[in-house]
Amino acid sequence: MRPLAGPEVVRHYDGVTDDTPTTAPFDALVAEAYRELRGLAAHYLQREDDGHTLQPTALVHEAVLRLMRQPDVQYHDHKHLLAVAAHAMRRVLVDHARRRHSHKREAGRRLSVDEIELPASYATDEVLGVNDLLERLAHLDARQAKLVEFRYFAGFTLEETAELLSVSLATVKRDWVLARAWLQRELSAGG
Amino acid sequence: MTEPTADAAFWQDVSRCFHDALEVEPSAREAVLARVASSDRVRDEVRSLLAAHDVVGERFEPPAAMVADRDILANSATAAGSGTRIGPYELGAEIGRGGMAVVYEATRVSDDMRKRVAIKLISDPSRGAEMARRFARERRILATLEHPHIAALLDGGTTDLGTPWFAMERVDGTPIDRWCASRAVDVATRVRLLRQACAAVAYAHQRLVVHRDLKPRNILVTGDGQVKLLDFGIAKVLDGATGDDTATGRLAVTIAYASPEQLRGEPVGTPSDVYALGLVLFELVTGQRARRVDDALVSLLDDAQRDPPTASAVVNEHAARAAGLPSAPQLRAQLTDDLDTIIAKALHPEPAMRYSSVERFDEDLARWLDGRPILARPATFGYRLRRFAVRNRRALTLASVAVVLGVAGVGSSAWQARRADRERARSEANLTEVRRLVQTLIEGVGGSVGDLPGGTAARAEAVRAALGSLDRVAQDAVDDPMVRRELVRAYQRAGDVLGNPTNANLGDLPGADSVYRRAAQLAEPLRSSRDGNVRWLMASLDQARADVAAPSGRLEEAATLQANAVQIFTELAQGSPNDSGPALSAAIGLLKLGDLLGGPFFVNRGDGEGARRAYDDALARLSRPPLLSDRSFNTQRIRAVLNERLGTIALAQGNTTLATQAYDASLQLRVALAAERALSVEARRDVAITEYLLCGVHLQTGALDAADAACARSLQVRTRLLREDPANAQLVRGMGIIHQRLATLAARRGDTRAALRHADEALGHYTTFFDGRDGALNARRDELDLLLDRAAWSGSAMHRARAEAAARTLASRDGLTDPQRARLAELLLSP
Repeated sequence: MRPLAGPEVVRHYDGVTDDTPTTAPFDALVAEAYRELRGLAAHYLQREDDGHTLQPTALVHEAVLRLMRQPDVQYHDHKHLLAVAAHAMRRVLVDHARRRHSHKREAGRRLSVDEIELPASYATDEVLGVNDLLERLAHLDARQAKLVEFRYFAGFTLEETAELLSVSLATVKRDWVLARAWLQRELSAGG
Repeated sequence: MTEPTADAAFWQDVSRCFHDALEVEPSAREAVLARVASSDRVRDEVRSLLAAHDVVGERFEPPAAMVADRDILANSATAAGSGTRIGPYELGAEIGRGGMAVVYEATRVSDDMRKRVAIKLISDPSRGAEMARRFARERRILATLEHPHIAALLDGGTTDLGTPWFAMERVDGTPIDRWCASRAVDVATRVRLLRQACAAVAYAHQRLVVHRDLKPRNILVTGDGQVKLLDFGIAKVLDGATGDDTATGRLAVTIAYASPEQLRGEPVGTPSDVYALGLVLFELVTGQRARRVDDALVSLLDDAQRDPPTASAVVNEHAARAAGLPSAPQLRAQLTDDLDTIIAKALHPEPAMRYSSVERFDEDLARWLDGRPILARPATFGYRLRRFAVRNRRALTLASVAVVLGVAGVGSSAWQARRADRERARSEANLTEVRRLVQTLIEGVGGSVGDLPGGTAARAEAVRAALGSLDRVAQDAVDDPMVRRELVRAYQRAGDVLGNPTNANLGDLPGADSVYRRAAQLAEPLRSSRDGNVRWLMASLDQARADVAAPSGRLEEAATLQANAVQIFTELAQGSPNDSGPALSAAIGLLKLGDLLGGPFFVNRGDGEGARRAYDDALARLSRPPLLSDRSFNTQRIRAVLNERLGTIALAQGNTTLATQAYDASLQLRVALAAERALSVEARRDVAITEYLLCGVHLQTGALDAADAACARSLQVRTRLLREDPANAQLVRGMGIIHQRLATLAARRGDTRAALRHADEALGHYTTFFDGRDGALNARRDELDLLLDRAAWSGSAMHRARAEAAARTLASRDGLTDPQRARLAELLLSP
């Protein structure tokens, strides 16, 4: 299975590989992806009238596709790229939830990027809660924290997540069951 | 909050116990825990997690739709690989990958022609159905884009998985920016390359197609320095917006090269392509992007709305070297003033303030290359002097002497310059207005005249409004030859759109006629011009007028105009013997002239011999340089038509041998063309028509087997065409004609049953075609011939009555031919 091809296969018609990938710090790449996602969100907003509701995965897909064709940013491989996108997606969702949470709405103002409708599965409190919990989960098991980021925030499939984490599908399934149970308990404990 | 948990080791214990407990029935969990848990703390922790597990349900799972979405994405385009069949093509190696598409090399598997093409698979199947609809609407237009600098679109569709695909001419080339960088070519060479791209874009704009996604990656340069533009018109097909032709797509364009109006989601037209070409030029001559692409869309938009950067101001040593450009000071000097000005005008944030067309942009580039003054800036005295100085250093010395001797002249020169500025500003404003109107004409008609209910009326309205404005501009000053030229072009475009039968039009033949007249009046003072572009404009105007005069019944006038156009094209061809453009236009003119004189399928002047000479002359021109080795789609198509015409004339003159030869030659060409262009309904219908014509010759010589075979092949093609487009009335009628011929053939063999079967089938198609309306006379005549035949074959009283009724109706429209009258009499007199 090839979820998404990374820039290692981005080639031109004459078959010559694009410029050799350079390494950029992860944070810089995330910042890049984050800006991209927000830009996309803004673009969707402008086109609200055609009945489009923002789908986070759609955002991720498109952010990934766009990042892939940005010649200025190079990734080691597509795993790296997807990890960056997932992290950026998390930041978008969390930021969005924060703004919503703090009731910053003013009447009659044009909608901003931060007021896009998200699907019901991304309740504001839950997004913020999961985000806060991830730090603690990372302390217990860094891989499970990544897993939650990939699954919950970016909507990657179990198969993709397994590939991204370089573990078997069975392991991912087991980890995911436990992680969800843990999130459930922590969030319902009234935190 | 639960108690603070401990370290990773503790968590590993918890994890193991948790999964062990999950493997058994809930009732047995406590027993397992008692056995495997290393401490009470671990056991308590696992217990509470198990309790949470029992209630968590689907919480935290990504929505199913999201996952399915990703799976489709993962499995569609990217899963295709070597050996996969797509339409008639077999995929080979992957040769490119862009934002939303993967490109494969491919070959046609059917037929013997192993033609190499490039197949582009779009990796967004969720919009497949919508794209397929758009593509169906655009394909006719896109299939007609034939230009040496445009990679032709050959075919397209959607795969079983719903992935849209396009087949394009395979181009072995390098993106223009990298081509220039790797060869370290000078600035002038870069500008010359961009001019090739401009020529292609201007050609497409004249055919109402806007590229929308021009960028270095879509502008390839082949090994021998020829530019090829990829993906023409594709962006519009990929466009996400529903029902709105002019809106930009969300993702269809590359943000880095999008114009401000595209970023704002506003209607996209030819100015957007001018802008994109400006961005590409900026990049080619500075080695840097004009806009920062690391910005999010919002700030990118702000950026694009500000004044564009000055090319020479951004030049730096590092970027220049990386792009194979001269050293920074040298480069800065080359860009300063003129190229800076040209680029800035192309990149103006306001579409109306840019070059009013790609041709104007291109013209300034040509001026820059020649060292002539550019038009982009008001020609101030100082500026003119500088240009003058560069071109005529020695002459200037003399001029300086003159200035020193007679200072008085300076003041008056400055006044003249100011007046020239004012006039230039006014004519520039006029030009902008004219161009805007031409744009309206392009946008107003779009690619799909009449395929929306009520759309035709709305478009006609838009064209009339544009015409009104054109008239106002025309009343204002047309002293500027440039404005006059643009006006002529604009009126001609309006006429094309209104009712030139040789292109998509609004069906207003008289309207087109009168608008062309206005164009001709305006063009009168330009007639004496020796400028190649003006001459070309005059010839194409004459040709357009002939196109409309002929169906208006003015054959004499049409023939004169057409002959005139041929004359001009011939002179232009002699002026540039290596350029195939004017030579081909002359050949096309001769073809049209032949049709007017004695073309078999047209109202003509009955001069069959004159027609034959014209066709022969055209074919002769296609058989010598520069067209001799030209195997491009357009040229081959003209060859096929000419052979077909010559065949028909030979048949009329009783020479069946020559007719067979000519038809065969035409058929061979057309089969190859149809195989290459599966997209083109016309190309495939041409094959069916030629087979039918061949069948006719065989019928005449009594070669019934050959006639049968040709007819069967024609039927096969037509059946497939009709299946793809069941509502197409002309295709329905074509089916009727073929079955009528098959009925005749069967009757010739004495197989009355088969003859009657085909006759009924044909009549069914005719009934569908007429759809309760009177229909054209010649179609009704075909029907009557068939009804008479059927009555004779069957001897049925009912058939006889039907033929009689049809004959009466036709007679009441004065449409009965003499042979039909005779046959009717015969029928009525027989027992």
